[in-house]
Amino acid sequence: MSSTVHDPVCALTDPADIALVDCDVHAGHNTIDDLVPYLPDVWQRYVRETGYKGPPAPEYPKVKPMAMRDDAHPPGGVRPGSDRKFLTRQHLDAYHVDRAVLTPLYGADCEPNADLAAAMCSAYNDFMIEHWLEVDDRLFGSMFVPFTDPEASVREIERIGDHPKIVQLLFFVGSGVLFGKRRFHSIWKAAEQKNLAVAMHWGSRLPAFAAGERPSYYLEYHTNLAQTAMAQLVSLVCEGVFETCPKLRAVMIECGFAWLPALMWRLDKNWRGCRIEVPWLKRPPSEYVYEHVRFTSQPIEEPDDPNHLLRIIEMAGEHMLMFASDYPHWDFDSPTRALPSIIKGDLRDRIMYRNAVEFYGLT
Amino acid sequence: MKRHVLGQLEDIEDGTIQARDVGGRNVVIARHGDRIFALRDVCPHQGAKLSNGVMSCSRKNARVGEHHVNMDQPVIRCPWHNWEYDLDHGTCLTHPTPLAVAAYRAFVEDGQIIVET
Repeated sequence: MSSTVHDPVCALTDPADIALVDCDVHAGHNTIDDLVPYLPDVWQRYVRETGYKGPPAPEYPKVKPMAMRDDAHPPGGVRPGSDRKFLTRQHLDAYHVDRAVLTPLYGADCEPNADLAAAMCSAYNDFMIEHWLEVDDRLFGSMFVPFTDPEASVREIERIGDHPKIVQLLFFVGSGVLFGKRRFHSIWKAAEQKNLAVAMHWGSRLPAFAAGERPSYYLEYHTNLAQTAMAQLVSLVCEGVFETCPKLRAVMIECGFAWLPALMWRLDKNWRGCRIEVPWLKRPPSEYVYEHVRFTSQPIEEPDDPNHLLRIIEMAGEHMLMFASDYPHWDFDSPTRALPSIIKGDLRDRIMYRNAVEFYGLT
Repeated sequence: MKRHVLGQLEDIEDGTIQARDVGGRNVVIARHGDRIFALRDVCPHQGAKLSNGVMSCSRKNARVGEHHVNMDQPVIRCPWHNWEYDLDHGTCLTHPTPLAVAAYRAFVEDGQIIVET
C-alpha cells in the first residue's frame, strides 16, 4: 500500500523566489583566541594569566551539543557559526538571504567584573566588524555593551555606534535585570541618538528563574523564557522608556509572539486602574508596543490549526513580525518551510522581508 | 429639564462624595471646593456604585519620575477596578475608546445644591 505525503502546514517555496531578511543568525567567534588580539594589553595579560575562557556557559545542557543543528558543525571541528565560508554556503547562499542580522550569543555583558565586561564587549564588537560585517554586504550586526556600567555602555555606543553595519544593541532577556529601570535610560538615549535598535534575545547567562525557582529541564527553561521576555517588554513600557526615548525601537528575538495580544489586553486593562503610578504613560501601554517594538518569528508557534496563528498575527498587526531562522541552532526555522502556507501574499512578504527592512532601515 | 434641590453645600464635606436619589435616579454627588458635580452612580465597566469609590484629582502627564496632581481635574475612582472618571463630564480618563458615565449639570445657587436631570 502506498501513501502520499501531504504537507498542509508548511509552504515549500523556491528560495530564489523569496525576498528575505533573516533577523537572527548566530555568527561569531570560535574561541577566546579570536578575541584576544582586540583586547587592550592589560586584558590580554589577564586572559593569559588567569586562564579566562570567556563568559560562563549557559546552565542547562541542551538537547544537542551547544544547542546546534547536527549538520551545522563545520569541518575542522570549529564552533558552528564561526566559519564564515561554511555559514555562507550552508545558509546565506542556500536560502538566497538578502540581508542577515547577526546576533552572536556571547554574554560578555553579563560578566560580574564590569571592567572585564567592557573590554570583552569592545573586543567582540571589533572582531565582528572586521571578520563579518565588513566582508559581506549582506550582513548587519549587533553590538554588545557592558550594561551593568551604563557610562561605559554609552562610551561604547559613542565609539562604534555610527558604524553603518551596526543596527542594534543586543542583550539576553534573562540578564538578571529589568531593562526598563531608570539606571539604564542613558543607554537607551545613546542608542536612540545613534538610531540603533535594542534587541532582547532569548537566553541567559545567569540562573533563569520561573515562579521563584530554577526549572528542572531545558524544556521548561526554553519555554519559560517567553515569560522573561514579557517582563522585559512590560518593564520597558511602564518605566517610560518610549516616552524618554520617543524614537527608540526594540525587538524581541526568539521569545515567541503568540502571547503578545493577550499580554497587551492584560497590560492595558491593568493600566486603566493603575495609571496614577505611571503618569508618564500618555497612551494605553499597548500603543507603545505596537509603535516601537517588533518580534522575530522563530521558533514560530505551530498550532494544530495554522489559521489560529494567522488570526494572532492579524490581532497584533501585520507590521509586528519579522522572519528569523536562528541558524545554526537546533530549533532553526527554514525560510522556505516555517511559515504556514495560509500566510501568503503581502503578509508573507512583510514577514519575510519588508517589516525588517523598514524596522532596521536596511538598504 | 427637571431641577432638584439637594440641600445645602455644607451638607457635603469638601473632597467627598455622597450617594443620592435624584428624581428616582441613583446619582453620586461630589464636592471639590465650592464646585459640585453629579454623575450617574454606576460604573459603565462592570456596574459598581461609584459612590462606593473615592474622590481625588487626576495626575498631570509628566516626565518619567515626576508626579503632579492636577487640582483642576477632580475625578472619582471606581471602587472595583479603580478606573478614573472626570467629574466634569463623566469621561473615563483611562479608556482608549470613548467611555463615559452620564454627567448631570450641578451647581450651587444661594448656598443650595442644584442638580438638573
